[in-house]
Amino acid sequence: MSQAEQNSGTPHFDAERCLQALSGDAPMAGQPDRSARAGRLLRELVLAELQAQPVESTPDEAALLARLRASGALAGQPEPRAAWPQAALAWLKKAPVTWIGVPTLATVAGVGMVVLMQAPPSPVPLADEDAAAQMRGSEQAQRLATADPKALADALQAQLAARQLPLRRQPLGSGLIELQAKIPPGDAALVQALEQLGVKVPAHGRLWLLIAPIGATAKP
Amino acid sequence: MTPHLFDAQAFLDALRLGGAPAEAAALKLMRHYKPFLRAKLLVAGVSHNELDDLISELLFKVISGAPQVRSAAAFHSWLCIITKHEVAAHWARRSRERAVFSEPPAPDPALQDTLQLLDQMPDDSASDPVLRLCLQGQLAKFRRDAAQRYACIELIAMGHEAREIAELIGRSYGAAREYMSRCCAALLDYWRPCLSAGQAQALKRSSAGQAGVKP
Repeated sequence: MSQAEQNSGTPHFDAERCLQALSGDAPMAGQPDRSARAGRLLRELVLAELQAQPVESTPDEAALLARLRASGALAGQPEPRAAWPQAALAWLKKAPVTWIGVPTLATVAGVGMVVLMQAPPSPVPLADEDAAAQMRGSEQAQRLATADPKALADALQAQLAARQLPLRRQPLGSGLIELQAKIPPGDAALVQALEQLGVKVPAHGRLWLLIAPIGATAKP
Repeated sequence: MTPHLFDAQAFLDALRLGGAPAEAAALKLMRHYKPFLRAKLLVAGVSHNELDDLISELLFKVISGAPQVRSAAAFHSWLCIITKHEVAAHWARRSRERAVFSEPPAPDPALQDTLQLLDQMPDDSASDPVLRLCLQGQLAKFRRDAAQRYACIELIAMGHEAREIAELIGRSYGAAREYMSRCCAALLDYWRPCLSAGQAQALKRSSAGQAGVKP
């Protein structure tokens, strides 16, 4: 019982002790009181409830896994990323900097300068044929209105995932969903499949869609 | 279920391997962190109909960005930072004030009765299946009635500190502590009927026991 309770004779809710017991911290000095007991019981039942949640695979999980597969996030890495910098660092530590390091760096810098001076940067032509006719930033998203935007987005995602094409999907609130993907040129079957879903694939292949529920007028 | 108990090193190793181990590890991460993210987003004021999409987006970012994490020990903190940024972006996209404390404030419960009842219960009373079932039922009812407050209690039980909750709800440390204690008090108030019934049962049992020993 806490000091306040001993003084007043009535149970007093000590939020500090209750929260401490709920978070699983070691009890404060003194006898555990009613508030701490309540906190412990809360913790026990809340954690039991969390652990009792179902673990079966859900459609959401399957869709997320398909999206991860398509983006290449689950393809693995052949070598740890830090291998090259670590090897270079190890070499630098071993090499006597004054005798080998400084002349090597100076030579590499000199060769780099010569190469750059001999090959000045040349203008690179634009990759897209129709890009020259467009102003930068003039591109507009293609808006689709449907009763169930989530279902349409899932159908489009499935089409792209079947071809291992990366897709960016972003919920924008009020049921609005934004999708972005790059359609490879020459995939007529995919273009046709997308057209059947009401999507017009532009010639440059950059797909930018805004799927809105029917009747929604709000801008994202 | 505590997020810190997630084996981040095993997850990162499996992700590096790729294929079936990576998929199994990704699935394990989703199942482990979903309740945590759900509670975190609910406390941050994200509405129910936007919750699943936002969690999916977060998990996608976490799994696809995990190879950039240098140390497994920093994985949980990194995930929390991503969540924080995603929540900030979520509100920025809506360009409006976030709806913290979206549930109507409940009147302060008079906890004296509940604490008195709890005090009179024997130590092993929580293992009584009837009482436990009743408490769990009330817990579920509270979860339905006040999802945001329940999520706050879940976060505290998972080891979240007041400082982190203050950051989530966008209030001062003191206001967050006040909110946390109100959440606990509100849930304890829901338990009162169970504890009253439990006490009545215990009294009945003890009186029956006394009657049994009488000649």
